[in-house]
Amino acid sequence: MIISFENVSKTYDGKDIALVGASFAVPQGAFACVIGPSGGGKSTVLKIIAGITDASSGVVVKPKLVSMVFQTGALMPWLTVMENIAFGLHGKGLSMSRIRSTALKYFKMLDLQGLEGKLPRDLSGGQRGRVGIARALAVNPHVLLLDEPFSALDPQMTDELHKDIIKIWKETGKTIVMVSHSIEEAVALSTMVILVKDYAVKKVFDIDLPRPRHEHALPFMREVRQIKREFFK
Amino acid sequence: MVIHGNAPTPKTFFARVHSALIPVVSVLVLLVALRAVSLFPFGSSVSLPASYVAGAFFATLTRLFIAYILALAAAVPLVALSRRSPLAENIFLPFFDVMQSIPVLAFFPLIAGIFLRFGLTDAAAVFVIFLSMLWNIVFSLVAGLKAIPRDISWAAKVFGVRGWAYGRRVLLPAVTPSLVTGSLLAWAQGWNIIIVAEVLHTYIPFGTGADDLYGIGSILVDSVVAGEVGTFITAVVFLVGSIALINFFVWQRLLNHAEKYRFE
Repeated sequence: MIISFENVSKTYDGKDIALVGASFAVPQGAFACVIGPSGGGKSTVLKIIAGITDASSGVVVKPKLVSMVFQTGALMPWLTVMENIAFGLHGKGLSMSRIRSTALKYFKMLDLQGLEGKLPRDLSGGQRGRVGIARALAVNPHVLLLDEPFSALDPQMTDELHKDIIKIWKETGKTIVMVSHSIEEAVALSTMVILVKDYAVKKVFDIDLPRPRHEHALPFMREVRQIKREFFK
Repeated sequence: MVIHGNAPTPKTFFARVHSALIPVVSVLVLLVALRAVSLFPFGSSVSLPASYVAGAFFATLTRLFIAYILALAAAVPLVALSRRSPLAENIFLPFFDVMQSIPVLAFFPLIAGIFLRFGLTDAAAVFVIFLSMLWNIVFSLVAGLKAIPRDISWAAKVFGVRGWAYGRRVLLPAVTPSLVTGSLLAWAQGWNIIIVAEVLHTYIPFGTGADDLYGIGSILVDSVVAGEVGTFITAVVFLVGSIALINFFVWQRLLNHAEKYRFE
């Protein structure tokens, strides 16, 4: 298991509860989706894996190199697309030519040609999402975290980025953990769904559907219905 | 607390020229109007050589520049201290607020006791300008740091950008827009106070105009006292014209450049 939580809790200032007794494990190479209502603790799970915050109690096992794609993009507005992709590569003892070639590799992988000198403000939401993914991949992480990266995009753009993410996951074999508020999206993309509700992990679902997955296929709808039943319980 | 607005900055060359000319034209119109209605209180019309006025202007500019660098150097650790913890912020920010509301000249006994007593008139002038600039820079830095989105700080943490690298690669660029605005306001405060700063010693017993600092502020004061209308107009035109040029070539450019660093 590349990530495991054993009875993990998180409180802020010793009183504000964010997560209680969470236990789950994510195998190497899995595509895990953390779903749940807003304010239920799913972002806390991601923040603990990312190292943004520490667990108050319990045992967390996670790899050292984790990177993240943020909901807002979190791109540096003063850096160009190429400089943003290279953001995490500086200070790692790499030569400038190595930094450039690595950034270029992911720049091409995410199909950003023609945008290298643009600033984030000149990009569309989808392009920003792609730059965020390229930046996260460029550091060659063991685990890639995605924090609702598609929530602000239109359905067409979301569909395109879904395809990109699945392609990257298959090509790189990286473990992906994504937070989403959409059960359909979780079933469409992932190999496991972790339901976090009322600050606790309620249930873990294995999604063993063939790809490509179609929302109107019966097995797909059955999985969605099963998760919804737990979600709204 | 000072709230810095986000007024749009002129982007085109002509818009910037227009913006820079407004103060010059306004002052000239005012002078002509005052003359026309015979409100000008001066008699003689002695005018100093332009080179003397230019030299005085650069002497004043040097004082402002030194004070600005000192204000910047003092503001950074003050703001860093206030950001150490929520408790520190709760203590320091109200303190800054009180300090910025105290008029600079309320520190006159301190200035007289420390600087003027030992004949350090130039240092006294720089100190007064420094005090008038400091709080604009402090509050602009505080506002700039508070405006950094949480995701940006988290992204830096996730990608291992910490310590000095975080300061250089994230904090400094992130505070650039508010620092430029704060610096512009600080310099405006500095220009406002130069007239007093360069003749401070005349406020203490036995202080005379003979010891005035060489600067555009003291020329303005002395020309009014002596009723030299020509000197006064030369100094005002030089001062306003130079500030307009500085505005055009420095501040407008910096404001435009800083737009790149602004979070959406």
